[in-house]
Amino acid sequence: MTLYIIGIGGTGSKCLEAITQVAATGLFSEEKINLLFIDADETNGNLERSRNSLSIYRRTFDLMSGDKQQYPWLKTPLESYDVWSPFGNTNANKNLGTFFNYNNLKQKNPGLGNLFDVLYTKQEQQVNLDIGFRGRPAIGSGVMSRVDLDSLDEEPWSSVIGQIQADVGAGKSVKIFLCGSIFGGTGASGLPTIGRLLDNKLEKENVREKVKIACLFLLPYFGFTPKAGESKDEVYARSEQFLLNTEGALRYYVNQAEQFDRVYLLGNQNLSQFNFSIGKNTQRNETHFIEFYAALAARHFSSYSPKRQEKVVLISRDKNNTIAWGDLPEPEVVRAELVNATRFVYVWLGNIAPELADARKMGVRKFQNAAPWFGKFYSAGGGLFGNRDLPDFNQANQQEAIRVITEWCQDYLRWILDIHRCDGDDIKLFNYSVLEKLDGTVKSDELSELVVGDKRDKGSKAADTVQRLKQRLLDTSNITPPNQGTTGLAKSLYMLCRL
Amino acid sequence: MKATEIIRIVIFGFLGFIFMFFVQPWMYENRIIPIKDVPVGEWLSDSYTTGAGVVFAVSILATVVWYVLAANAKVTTAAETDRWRVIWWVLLLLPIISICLGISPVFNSSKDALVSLTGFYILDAIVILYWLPTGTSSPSLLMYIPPGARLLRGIFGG
Repeated sequence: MTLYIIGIGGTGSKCLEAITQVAATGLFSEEKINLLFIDADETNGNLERSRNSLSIYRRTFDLMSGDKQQYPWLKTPLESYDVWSPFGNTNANKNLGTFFNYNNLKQKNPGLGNLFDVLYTKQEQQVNLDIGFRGRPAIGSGVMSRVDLDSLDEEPWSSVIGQIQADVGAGKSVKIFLCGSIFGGTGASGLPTIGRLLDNKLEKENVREKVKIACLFLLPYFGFTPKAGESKDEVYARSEQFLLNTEGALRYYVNQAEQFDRVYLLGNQNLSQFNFSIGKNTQRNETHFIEFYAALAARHFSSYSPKRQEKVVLISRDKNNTIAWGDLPEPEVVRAELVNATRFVYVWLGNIAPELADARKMGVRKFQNAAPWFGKFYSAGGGLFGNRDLPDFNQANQQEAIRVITEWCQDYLRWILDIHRCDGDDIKLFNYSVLEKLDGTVKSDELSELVVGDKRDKGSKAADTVQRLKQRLLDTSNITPPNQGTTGLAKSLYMLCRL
Repeated sequence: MKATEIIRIVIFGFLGFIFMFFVQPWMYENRIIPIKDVPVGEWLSDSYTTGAGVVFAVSILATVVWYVLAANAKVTTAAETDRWRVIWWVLLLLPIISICLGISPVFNSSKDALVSLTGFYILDAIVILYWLPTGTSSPSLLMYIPPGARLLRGIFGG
């Protein structure tokens, strides 16, 4: 099975970020996931952060390559087609008028030109769209509808379609998952349009029956207040119109969602408040738990059985304003992997990474006497002792590996902390107060207090310490390669962090 | 606490016992190390045995105290672990004090035996009963804290 995930607009890119983080915990299979971002605003802050998380993932994935049977961390290869903008390589003015060649239209076909004037205000026709469609689905739809996948030779579409055809030809089942907001600009316009275009193109290539297409519509889950001084005549997204946009879009989709084999809907009645931004790199909204659910929806789609008939998939939670483990789909499975990853991050950032920094300062030989686990992964730097077959800790590649893994941990920590900071909702997955201390060596060992609702007995929790994990690092005989150097240390630790 | 660690401590304790209460007295009795200023048999049964018993007991106590403390140590960083060297050296004072007692006139009435007894007690108390067991059997994260522990573990395993 090959999975293609297309994130449309800023919210779509946030969903892809969540998918990247969730994939890292091993919640997807080992089948490759292909990611494509679609956004007219290529400098969008949300998009930039997602691309950054993805590149961190891929660097860490390449580092930790090898047998993944023993542990699920980073087992899913993620390929990226990067960003596609509906404006293509156009360097000309990115406004609706130029895109539709308004002046020419008005001259040669006045009727159409007048219709254009009825559909779009002068401001909407002239506003610069290089920061996105400004929360106006009507603008986005106009641009998106001009996309013709048949004549689109440019990347990435030629690669995407070509790869889909190759996968189908090789007998693989192919699934395409589109995600974006139903209430914004790019997502609201792109979801139905790109979905329809893909459906038509795959139909034309006679592969549509072998491909499943799903769409995740994110309903409103945040709002913002424009800055004082912003003119009401200016063209920008208005959060007070989100619900109205949603209502209109859902009416459309009741009868016009035939191109999708499955539809996911996600939203939250408690709207988080984000800072207003008109677009570009200041549009960097905090991570929200809804995007985490979006990633789980993608996971659900990638693994769902064709025998199930449900076309629309919904989920609810036990208590309003609260998200607990039981509110997640397949809670036992999701919890196990998320807890494993988060415990690893806690131990790596809170203890191991600072210890490895100390090893550089103290010198390997002196450090190793006070940290016997170190000698299981690194050589003793010459002398009589230690295993000379092990990598030298001070080698550049080992130090680079430490940096890469630490970077992944920091990115994952940022994401999981942001989810717990959701405005208006109480997220009861991990203890925020324990995780937020990870800005240096943890002064007290709170590993056993990390997970909310941890039902282990007192004895088990008392024995669950960083010290005990490091003691268990002394016996790595059952770990298959990579089991040396930094990668071996990280892999061993990840396995030991499993509850 | 690992069984192998406990077994090694018992073995070294037993070795020390054999040395102190059989080998060394045999060496004095058979004049391999001659003592002329006091009757050997009397000296062995009165002074030596009592003194050796004190040295043995205190040294074993120091080893057991080190092991128990180390097994229950709460250390999460190398810096915290490293501080346990001080405790090891402090506990070494116990065998040293017991040696001083053992060779003092309280437990040793022979001046001829002073040098040899000091040498034997250093070997018994410090090497066999304290350094070797702690060096080969200190638990997990403190396993290399006793000086030369890496060498000892290379020789004796563990």
